[in-house]
Amino acid sequence: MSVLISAKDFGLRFKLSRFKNSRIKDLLVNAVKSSKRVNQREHFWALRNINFDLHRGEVLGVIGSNGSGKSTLLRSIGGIYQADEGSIQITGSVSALLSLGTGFKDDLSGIENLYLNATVLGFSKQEIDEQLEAIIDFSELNDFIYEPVKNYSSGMKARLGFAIAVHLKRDIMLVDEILGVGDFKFRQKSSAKIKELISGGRTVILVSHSMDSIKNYCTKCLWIDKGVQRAFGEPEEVVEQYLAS
Amino acid sequence: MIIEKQHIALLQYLVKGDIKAKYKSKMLGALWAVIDPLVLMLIYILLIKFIFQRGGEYYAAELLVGLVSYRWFSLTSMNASKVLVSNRKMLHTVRIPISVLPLSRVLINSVDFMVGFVLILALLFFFGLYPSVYWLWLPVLFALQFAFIYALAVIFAIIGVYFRDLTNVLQFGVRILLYGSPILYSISQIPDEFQLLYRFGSPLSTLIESYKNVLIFKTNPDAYFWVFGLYVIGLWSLAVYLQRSNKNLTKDL
Repeated sequence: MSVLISAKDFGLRFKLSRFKNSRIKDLLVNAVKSSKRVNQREHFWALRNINFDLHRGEVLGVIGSNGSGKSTLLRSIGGIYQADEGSIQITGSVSALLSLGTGFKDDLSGIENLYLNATVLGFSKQEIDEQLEAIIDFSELNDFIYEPVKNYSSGMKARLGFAIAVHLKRDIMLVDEILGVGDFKFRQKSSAKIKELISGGRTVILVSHSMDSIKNYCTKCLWIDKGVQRAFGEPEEVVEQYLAS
Repeated sequence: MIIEKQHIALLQYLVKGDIKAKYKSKMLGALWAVIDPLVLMLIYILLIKFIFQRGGEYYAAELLVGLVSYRWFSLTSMNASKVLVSNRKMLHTVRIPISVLPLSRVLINSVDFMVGFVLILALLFFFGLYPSVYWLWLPVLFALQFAFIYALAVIFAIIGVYFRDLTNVLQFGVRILLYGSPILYSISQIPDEFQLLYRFGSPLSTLIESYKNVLIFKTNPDAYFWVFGLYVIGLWSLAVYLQRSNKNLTKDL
């Protein structure tokens, strides 16, 4: 099987906000040199020494306590952050980061937002048109889809976001804590949908605090603690180590 | 700065969505693009023509030409300075080139410019100023103005991330430039020996003067036209440079 994602000694650092007062200086420094020499005291490593390979069709679960760098890792894989150390190599296909309702505009109707959101996520009009009915059906919004999003409840917004995200497919899917959306019935439906995507041979990276979903869905598991990789391997084993810690 | 094909659809939806959101909630909607410069023009006409008893034969047309081209610049600059910060969530979710967002602001405000330009044409016809061969300059002026505003929007957008006060600073800067540009007065009122200095100090002056020359006075842009060209090249290079050197900007958002 071919390697789709390969992280090698990957590291990413952020500047601490209490040192961010001299921001104009930052800009000038950025402009003048490639800022290789950084003041270590003013930075912290959000992620460091991350190493893993993910093959086509595998499902990776990322676990760790709050603030350990899971979402940052997802964003790095999505190409939003660039490595400060090492690299993450993505082979071939494009990946779309799943986050619900990115770029929703309150004044626009649900259907207008559907197009906007899907386009932001990088899909063409044809792709959206093909899935339009399925998305609206799945979201259970019915005629509300023509109402402005500002009149939606938070659950309705999340449902629309989820429906868009799961119906528009890419080879690599990044799923960040979106399994707990909506009421009980919708949650059941959405986990079934995720299961369907996973069994369809898609490569998925899943961030979750639910050890059950990690064990159920994933073929590999990565445990990060305070930005450092603690374990990578079989979900059962890694989850056990994590719970024991 | 050049937008790749895959991002053009995104740009379209951003622009469409924002235009709809901008006008949909208002009763008069897109009519504001007409009302805004028109009311300003009337105020200044009242002030300059009737109170100060100044201004030439085509003063109203000159005023409108100045105001409409200035407005595209001022609105975009203000919008662009906070466009990256206010779209932080989007930038943290999907990977898009930085310049897409400032460009969307340039395009949204270009709608106002286009509407304003139709207004200008109407006023020109009213004064009996019909199309001449000098109108062939218009595409050149439009292109240069677009490049100028786009480059500036990218620069302000990037600086706005590191220097959040930029919007406040620009509020004054834009106002100063309103009076610093030949909108309320004619550029010929500047003494010859200060002309070059003035052109460099007031970046929009050459552009506005060129519009007036081409549309109203039926001549070519004047001998200082190169100053604006220089501005466009300079700003464009700076924008490209800032974008390259701030590849990791999303982390600082």
